[in-house]
Amino acid sequence: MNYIRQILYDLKQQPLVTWISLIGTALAIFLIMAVFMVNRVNVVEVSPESNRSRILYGSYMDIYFDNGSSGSGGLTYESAHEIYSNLKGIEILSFIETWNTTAEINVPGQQSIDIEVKGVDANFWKIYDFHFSQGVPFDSIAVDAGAHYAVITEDTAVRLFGKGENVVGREIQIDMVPYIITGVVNNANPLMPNSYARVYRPVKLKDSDPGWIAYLGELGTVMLRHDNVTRDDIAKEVQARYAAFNNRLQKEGMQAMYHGTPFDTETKSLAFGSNTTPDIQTPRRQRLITYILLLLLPAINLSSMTRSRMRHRVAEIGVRRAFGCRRSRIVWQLLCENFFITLAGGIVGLGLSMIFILFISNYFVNYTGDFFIDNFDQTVTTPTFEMLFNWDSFGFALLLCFILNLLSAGIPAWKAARINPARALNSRGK
Amino acid sequence: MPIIRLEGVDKVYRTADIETTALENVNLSIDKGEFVSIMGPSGCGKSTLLNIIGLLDTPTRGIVELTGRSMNGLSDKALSAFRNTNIGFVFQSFHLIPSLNVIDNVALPLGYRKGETSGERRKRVTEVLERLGLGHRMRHLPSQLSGGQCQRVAIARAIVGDPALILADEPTGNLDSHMGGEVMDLLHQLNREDGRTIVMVTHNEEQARQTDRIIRFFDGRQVE
Repeated sequence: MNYIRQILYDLKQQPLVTWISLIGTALAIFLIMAVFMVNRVNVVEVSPESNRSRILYGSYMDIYFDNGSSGSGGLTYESAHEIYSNLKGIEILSFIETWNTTAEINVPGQQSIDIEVKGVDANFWKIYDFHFSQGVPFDSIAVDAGAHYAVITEDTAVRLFGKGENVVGREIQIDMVPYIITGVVNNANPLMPNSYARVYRPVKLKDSDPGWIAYLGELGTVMLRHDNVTRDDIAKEVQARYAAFNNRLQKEGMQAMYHGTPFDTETKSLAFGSNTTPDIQTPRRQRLITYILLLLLPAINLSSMTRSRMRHRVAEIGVRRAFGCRRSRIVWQLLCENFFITLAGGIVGLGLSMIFILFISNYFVNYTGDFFIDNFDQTVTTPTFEMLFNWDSFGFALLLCFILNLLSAGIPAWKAARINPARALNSRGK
Repeated sequence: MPIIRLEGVDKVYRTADIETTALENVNLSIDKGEFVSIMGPSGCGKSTLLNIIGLLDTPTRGIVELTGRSMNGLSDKALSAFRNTNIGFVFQSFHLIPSLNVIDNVALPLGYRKGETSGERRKRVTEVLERLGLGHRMRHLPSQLSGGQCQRVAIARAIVGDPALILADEPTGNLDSHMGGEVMDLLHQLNREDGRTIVMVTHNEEQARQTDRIIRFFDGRQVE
């Protein structure tokens, strides 16, 4: 309580310095949180990707020929099955189309619109937690039978049927082929490219179209690992599968390159091609350097503000020391007081960063970062409030406030506590 | 047994070029329950002496004993604890903390102690403030008080922790004669009724004469 009283007193006595401290802190936290949240979008756990920490991807195949040529892309069902089926640490395995396609979709007799479609199997609905507002997902029997069923998103239901209510059982045409709607799910977000589409239909598995190389196709896998198994454990198993796979391919003059699969969500977001190994360390290092710079530079400025505020309180420090306050307690008190200023600035900064990301950042930031998001229907790719405001962001902002407080007030507080009490008392003060 | 004993105390301030002797070979003994005045011209070392007795500064040489214990070489932690429980300070410019109200200012020394609940502390603070006639000013900030009231609050803060020794550095220096008289009466009352030892630096000959003993200083040396 006394800490807050002291801040209010400072605001009254030294308004300029205290306000500059507050605004400086707010700007520092705003900049860092904006960077943090933009990057966080790729890993934050919100529906339908609430299990992101356990979801893994095996999406690509990269094959080199003995004659020096190469090819890469998605997998065929056979190659996907050979490498990713029945892995020990995997709870659920789903086969999906690696890339969404844009299809002409219409209600019979009406004009068609271009909408993104993803082919998925029945396990897809177990890995991703879509909320069904109407109907149910299609099951494995429908997938195996190649049934023409479809699950559509709520906004697609509105676009196709007007009100979007009671659409289960109704027919739509996808590229002129009739499909029956079995369910309607909440809207997917293009910032979650792995689960994003507007229309989901059963993926073609065994008769999926093989690419120009027999082992390259259009499929990918999504896996949900067990809690007690790490990604690295599974990666070792996959690498062993690649070795066995290559034993066979070598006889055909080919070799499949292992790029570290299965990828977690963060790594997958950095996989800018099917024939490269994503580099996760460099962006992490860059982010860390950015955070450090964005913290250090304002901390140096704020430190001089803190010193200025403390200069006015030297006599008070002398009084406290005279009545038995230890140096460590002085440091603690000054840090706590400054922390409340930093916290107030931090809350403002956090709010600013959310406003920036929700309403302004779309002009500056390409969030998708994913070459394979078609975004043909011009979907706005701004993060949702739910993606931004979570305990991770709040905790990170709090941690930043704590570090900024230590950086900006630590040395001034330590120096203030070491002033000779007799000398401190000679300063003026009522 | 003396509550304060100084033996051969020197205090020398050194800068890069100059060496200033503030105290030279001070030998002093003050008994428990005494009210002693320290007098001398400005810059003669009175406040330095008070700072050394109050453990706010250390001597360059010599022995400092308080309550029979040597204070030489004690850690900051030990000195802080000793000040907290044994010494109360009253300053010329009051040195109340401007952001805290009267209660919190008076409670300051108790906040640096362990073993007392906030309720017990509050009770003690209230008792002391009532005794000093400040019961109606508890929620006021220092800026809302007169000089005399500020000094009474400062005295309340000095005695709330029940110290045996009170060090007062020109406690009436910033007050008019009427308020100064009230403060002196209060200090005498604390000395008489509570048996507290009081060491007071003053320029006021009349006030000094009212105390048990006057120690005079000149150029860092004890002359009387």
